[in-house]
Amino acid sequence: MMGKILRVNLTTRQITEAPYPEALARWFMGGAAAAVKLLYDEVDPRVDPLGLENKLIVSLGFLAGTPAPATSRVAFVAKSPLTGTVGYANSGGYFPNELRATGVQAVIVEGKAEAPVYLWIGDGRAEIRDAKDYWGLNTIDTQFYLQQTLHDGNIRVACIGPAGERLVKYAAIITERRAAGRKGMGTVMGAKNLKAIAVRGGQKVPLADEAAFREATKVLHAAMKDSPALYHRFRNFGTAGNVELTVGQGDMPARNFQEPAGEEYLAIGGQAGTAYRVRHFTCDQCPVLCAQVRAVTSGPYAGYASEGPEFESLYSLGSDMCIADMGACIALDRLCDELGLDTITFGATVAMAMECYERGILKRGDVDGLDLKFGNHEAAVTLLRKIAFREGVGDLLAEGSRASAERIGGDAPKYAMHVKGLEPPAYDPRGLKSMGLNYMTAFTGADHSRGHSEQEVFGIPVPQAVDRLATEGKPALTIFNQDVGGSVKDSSMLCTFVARLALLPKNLGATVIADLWRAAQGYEVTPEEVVRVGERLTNVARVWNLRAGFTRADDTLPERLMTEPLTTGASKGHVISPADRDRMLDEYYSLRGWDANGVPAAERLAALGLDAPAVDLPVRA
Amino acid sequence: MPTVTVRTMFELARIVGRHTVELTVPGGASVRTVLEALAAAHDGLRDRLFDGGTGGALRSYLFVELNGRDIRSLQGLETPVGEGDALSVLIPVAGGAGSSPGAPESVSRS
Repeated sequence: MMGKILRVNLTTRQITEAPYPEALARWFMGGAAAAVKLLYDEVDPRVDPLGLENKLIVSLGFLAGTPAPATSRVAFVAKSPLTGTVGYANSGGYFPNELRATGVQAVIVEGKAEAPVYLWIGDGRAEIRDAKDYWGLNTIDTQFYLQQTLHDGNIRVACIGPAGERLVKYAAIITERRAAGRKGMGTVMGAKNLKAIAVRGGQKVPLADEAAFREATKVLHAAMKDSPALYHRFRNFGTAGNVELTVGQGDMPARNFQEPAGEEYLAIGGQAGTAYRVRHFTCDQCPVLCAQVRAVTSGPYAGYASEGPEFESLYSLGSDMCIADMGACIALDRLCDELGLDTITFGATVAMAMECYERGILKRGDVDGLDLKFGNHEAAVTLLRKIAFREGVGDLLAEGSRASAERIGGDAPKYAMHVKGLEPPAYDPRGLKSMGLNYMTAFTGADHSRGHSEQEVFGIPVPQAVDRLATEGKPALTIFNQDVGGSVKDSSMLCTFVARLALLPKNLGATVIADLWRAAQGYEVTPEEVVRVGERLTNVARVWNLRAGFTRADDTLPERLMTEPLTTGASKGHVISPADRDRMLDEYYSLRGWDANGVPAAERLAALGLDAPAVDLPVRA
Repeated sequence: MPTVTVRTMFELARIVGRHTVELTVPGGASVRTVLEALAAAHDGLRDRLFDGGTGGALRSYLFVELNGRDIRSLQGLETPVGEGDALSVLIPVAGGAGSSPGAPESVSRS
């Protein structure tokens, strides 16, 4: 059964609680899907993302706190200060299950506190507390001192660092050493003067049928055990093993997407990473242990350690800035986590600045005297601190690649790699056409957390084997990945790697989620209804973005990815041309039941059980 | 006699001794011919590539791309190769399907 919803108004300092709405549970099944629906219902898409009217929605999946493995994950949703779209980031660790143990399923944070505060949620009570003793601390110290002050080392904390306090547009929310990094959800916390959410609970999550839940969980465990990679290579290499794969495919971006990463970047790959690993780590109740705690023991970064870097960070902190040095990547990763920055947007924004510097658009005097050429990791470290504290040129680059490039002017916007303001993750879509269409159409911009093309990257032949270089059939594949993948992960918040490695190869995701739902909630949903959650989520978010002013013209890719073919590697010669883009978009819209402008038809929304909201004509705010 | 570049990774690269090798194969050769030639030159590689002996299926934990295209969307192992072709034998770590030949890497539990 779902927990309660806590509504916290920081302006009035009122806290109220309500039972989880039955319709929200039935139609969105909790997690990120329900959080986006709450945003849709409660936040005008045209509000200032840093203003009083934006809300931060903290939402758990329906499996949080249950014995189901790999489900201690939490979604943070708000209007994104970086993109202006629906903003969504998620993270794991121990915080999510601890929050669920307080009886809470979701928290809606409204308004803005007069002075820095933190939110305490304990068993049966929640309080807004003074955070002046924590403001200014990095994320590691914030967690430590909250636990010390409250005399309980088992308190779990989601918090921001100096970057969030200074409203850096891509500030992250950190839970332990995990990051809900993307789209500036930490910036929204900072704008509300909310330093942290600290939780400690002791409640057991009620299940409608415990015996049936145990049986359904066994199916999930069996699928995990049957995976050829999950407990073997994935545990051993973590996500860093994707470096070897994508270098082989010629799809790992380097030099701000000017070229694919070559073999020199195997120095920051999974195999190389094992030499730095001091231990494995894991999220609560997950037997996989994929997290790699890596330490640097020699060279200029000796003494740095991080829980990572994950694959996406090895691209953004590594190859995108031409840094083929694992020690530097570990240091940058650690500093991003400590100061509370999204690793992907940070690296991509600095890579844009490096290209502008090498092309003479930015002069040395513009960048505080730094020699900002590609590969200069010392300059990257210096910039990281400047950005987090908005010092000097850091204040400019704190806005993200799109806004920073616009301020730099000249040709700089040509070198800002983003879709709707969100910088791409570590997959060059020129060699992965469905991934490219997903970047264009994902409601958060160039996102890897939804609609990831598992078939193209990993060769998973479900629903069928595909030619990653072809555009044919990719609209239907993209919808499959957005809706099936999205519904399985965005309702339950099941870890994406378990969903991908254990369930997708057997196309079991919707069935397992449906079985777990029935046992947990006490009423049946079919696997088809689970998939409809993904479609419903996509449509709700689309309508919200249209109302915010986004149009078909925003469903595009950076010019470079449409006009400059890859020059080397296994994807050499490929682009997604404007004609490819238009053809795929037309088909995608048609399959979705959207018109030629990408506006969902009222009948399609009604068929999904939505209230067929009138979509305002898109107007730029 | 076309020359084909073959890229491998992880334990396959360790057996081969490097990540990329060039092989010259007879005219009319297929992906299978190339991989058989590679396996013949490196002890222990055949079992990592094929189920059973000569003529066996590709291990299902692998996927192979010829010039960036999954051979399953072409003619599988019988896909012809030509001069200058690039063959990638890929091991998905954070994704993938099929059975494993075992757990080749040791892991330490925390």
